[in-house]
Amino acid sequence: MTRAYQCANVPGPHLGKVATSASVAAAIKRAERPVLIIGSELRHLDWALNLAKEMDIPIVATAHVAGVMREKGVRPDREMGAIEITNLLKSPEWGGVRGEGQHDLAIFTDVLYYMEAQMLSALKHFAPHIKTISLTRGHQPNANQSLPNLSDAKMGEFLAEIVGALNES
Amino acid sequence: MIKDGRFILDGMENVVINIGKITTEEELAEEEWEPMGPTPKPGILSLRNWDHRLLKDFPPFYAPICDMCCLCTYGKCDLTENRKGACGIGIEAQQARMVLIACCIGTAAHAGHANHVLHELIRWRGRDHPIDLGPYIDVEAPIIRTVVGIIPKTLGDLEEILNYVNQQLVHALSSTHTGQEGSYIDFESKALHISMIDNLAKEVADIAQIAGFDFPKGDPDAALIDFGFGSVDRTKPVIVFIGHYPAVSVATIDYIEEQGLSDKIEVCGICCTAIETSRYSASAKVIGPLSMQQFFVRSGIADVIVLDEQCVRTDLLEEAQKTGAPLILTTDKICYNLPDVTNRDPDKVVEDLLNDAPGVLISDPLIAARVITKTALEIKPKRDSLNHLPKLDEVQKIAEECIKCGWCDRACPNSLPVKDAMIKAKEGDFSGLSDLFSPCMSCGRCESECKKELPIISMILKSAQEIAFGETYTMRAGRGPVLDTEIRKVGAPLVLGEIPGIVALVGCSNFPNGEVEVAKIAEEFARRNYIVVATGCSAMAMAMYRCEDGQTLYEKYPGSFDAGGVVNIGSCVANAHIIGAAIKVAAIFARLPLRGNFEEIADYILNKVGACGVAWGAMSQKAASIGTGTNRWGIPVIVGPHGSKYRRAYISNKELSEWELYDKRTGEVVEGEPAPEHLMYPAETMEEAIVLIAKLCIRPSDNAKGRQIKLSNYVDLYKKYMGTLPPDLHLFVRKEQDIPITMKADIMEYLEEAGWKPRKAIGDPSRLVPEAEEV
Repeated sequence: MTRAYQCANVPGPHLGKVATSASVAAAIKRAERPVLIIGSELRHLDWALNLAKEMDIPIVATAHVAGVMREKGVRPDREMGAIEITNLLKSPEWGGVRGEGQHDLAIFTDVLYYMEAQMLSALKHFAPHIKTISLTRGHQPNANQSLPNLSDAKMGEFLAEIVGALNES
Repeated sequence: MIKDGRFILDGMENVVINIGKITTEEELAEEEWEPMGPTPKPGILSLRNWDHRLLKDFPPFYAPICDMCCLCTYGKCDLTENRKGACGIGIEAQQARMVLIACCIGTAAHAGHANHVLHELIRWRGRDHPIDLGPYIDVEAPIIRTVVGIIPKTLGDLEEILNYVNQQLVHALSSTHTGQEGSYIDFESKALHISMIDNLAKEVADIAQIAGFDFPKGDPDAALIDFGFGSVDRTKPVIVFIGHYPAVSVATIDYIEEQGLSDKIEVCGICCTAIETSRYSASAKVIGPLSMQQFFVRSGIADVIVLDEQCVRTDLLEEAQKTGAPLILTTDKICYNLPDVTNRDPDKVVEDLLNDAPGVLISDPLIAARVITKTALEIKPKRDSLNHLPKLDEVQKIAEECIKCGWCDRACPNSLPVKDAMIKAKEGDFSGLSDLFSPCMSCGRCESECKKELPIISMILKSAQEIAFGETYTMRAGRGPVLDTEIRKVGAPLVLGEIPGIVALVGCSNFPNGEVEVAKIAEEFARRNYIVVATGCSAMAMAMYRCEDGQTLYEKYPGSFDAGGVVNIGSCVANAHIIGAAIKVAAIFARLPLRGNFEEIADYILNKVGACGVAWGAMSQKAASIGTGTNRWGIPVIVGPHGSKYRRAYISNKELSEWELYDKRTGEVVEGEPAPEHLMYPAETMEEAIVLIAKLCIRPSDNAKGRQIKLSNYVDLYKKYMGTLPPDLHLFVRKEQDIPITMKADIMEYLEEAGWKPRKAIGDPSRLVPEAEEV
């Protein structure tokens, strides 16, 4: 059994699935209005920005990540705290990042692990209209699907495989 | 002497005189100081309307850390997907219930401290010992005045307040029993209530300490205290006090002085006892915040380790034994299954400790002081020959046992790179381990997880020995309350916004990236002429930093409660004085009556006093009640990312919320602004927190000049960390005059794009329903 990356982070009887690159790609393809939430760990920023560009997924930069993106010449669609975007995602009436309607898929990457766990928990309990994927370091059982626990090298491969699976279509 | 009762006078058998209660001159004076307001000694229901208004503007945001309830034998109950527990409780109410339990625990810890210290001081000084906070403080107990409606004159008067505190705790905690409250909103109201009671208990504790121990009475120039491992003279016997309750350290210092041993023994402290001890004696050293506990005990520097209460590692008996230092416990809160030797001959107890008894419990501080001192003197020579840390070549050998499983990284609350450091150490490169010293909180979860049982904390400490043992700093001693004279000076500029805000750095040391971030936050705002105040572990963490010019923050910035000051108020219980300062702005500047008048005062603070609490390392249940109580008074609080594990924040949703306020001058409902935007907010990074602090200090009462100053700080910080103008800037510009002159061109262009239209500033902003409408 895959354990949470921070091993005591066991929420309860219902745990999310361990993602494969194919299952992540399928969920992204299936989503009508996905949103990509990029946090402060900054481990795979270039990959995430590239994914957003290729798949036309709006970006929310949490913490001070918008500043880092601007240094790279990228302007995020929105910049707000991790808890603020989570709070908006909880509300069915919110119009989404682009005003096109509430999102149906939230992809978290690089939000501080334990804080992301809490944000995913909030969505798990209070946002039944939204699916969640975590591509942050280590397994997050509160996400609908989340990475297994991988070394940095393996994680790079995993992320590349997601892009490969997306391109297959 | 006339007593109450029923009297018949001789010869006047038809006349009966009933005397119900005798009013003394003191009581008459008490009645006259201010008319009693509407809510003296409020119960759980008394301020419920205020709570519900707060919770409407700042609704609870829940992030369960556990999907179940395990509190009764029906359970475990699964609360996911709208399931209810066997008692009928849902997930939101269960979260709020756990928050209330945490706030009750926090309040009980502070109230326990207050009860302890008050009763000990009454034993030492008598019930009639006066409460005198010096010539510059007339409004000497602002929380007690506002909540309870009395002015305490003596230590004995404080007992009545603690009776009320204890009663409220019983009611609040009882509502968490299975089958009581079921509404999350009302659980929150109770959490706000009991956390206000926490603030009250803290004020009682600190006023008692100031009066009874003669701590500084708001002295802006309180002494600079030597700080850090390196400040301890290790050639002398070293006694370390850990915890919060200062009676034992005070008694020990007195005893050492009486015995003429002051220059022969080193007294130091960790956590709030350190701050309290240095408030009593400037020669006491401060080792650091609670994150230093394990490191310091492992260092073996302490010859005697004394514990009192709150936030102490629960395995210190085991840790102390490893260093050969006896452990002396001094309160009923921590007993560790050690014998209570309070009534045994102290000399015999010393003998036991010298003959390898691992520790004892002594509940009388005066007796403990003798045992501690004598034991330290006699055990020092025995311990001199002991080595407590591995040598560097031994660190390398231990590291060679590492199997690189990586569970240390995963056990670490901050996921620090322990494994990589260990791999480097195998090669004789200790820089990885040394680099961990600053961000590591010495919690030891890595060691606990390690399959090879490697002493990782000791290895980090040894690798960082030059930093750990070499660096010394200074910290200004906790000064206690803010003076009335200071409030008179800053009251108007604070309410008008010309002093952009009070930034209060409080709480524990569960920092995401070590102590340095608290210091950087303090420096950022002190440079910008905010009033920076600090307490507890944050006040100590701030000391462990040098500015570019080599000075510590306490050396560089004045200790006065004024623009650009960096003020160490004191320990956790001294937090009460920060809320007290905001209350005193209402009392002294706005001349609002305090007595039993909570709602009006809290409404004033929320709408007019630009203050923001920051508990960057919030860890404990006490931090939960400190923060929640601060919220009830209308002061927003930012917690560090670990604070998201408290399960609940108070977050507005500015894209979906309406910001309606009342203008008390006209009685009309008027369009407000998200100022403050949130009430309890976990931030992910220091940079995010810094930007948010500037924003959360904005208040509807700012005049145009004040708003310009606040916006120039907010915009400048946003540009610094985000590289552009804030995307919500239009919400905080009421009219052109609010725009900082030097930023006008940029901001006007932005406002035009955002479709901004000017609006009126609110004459007298309030969230309380005007009386006419209420009728």
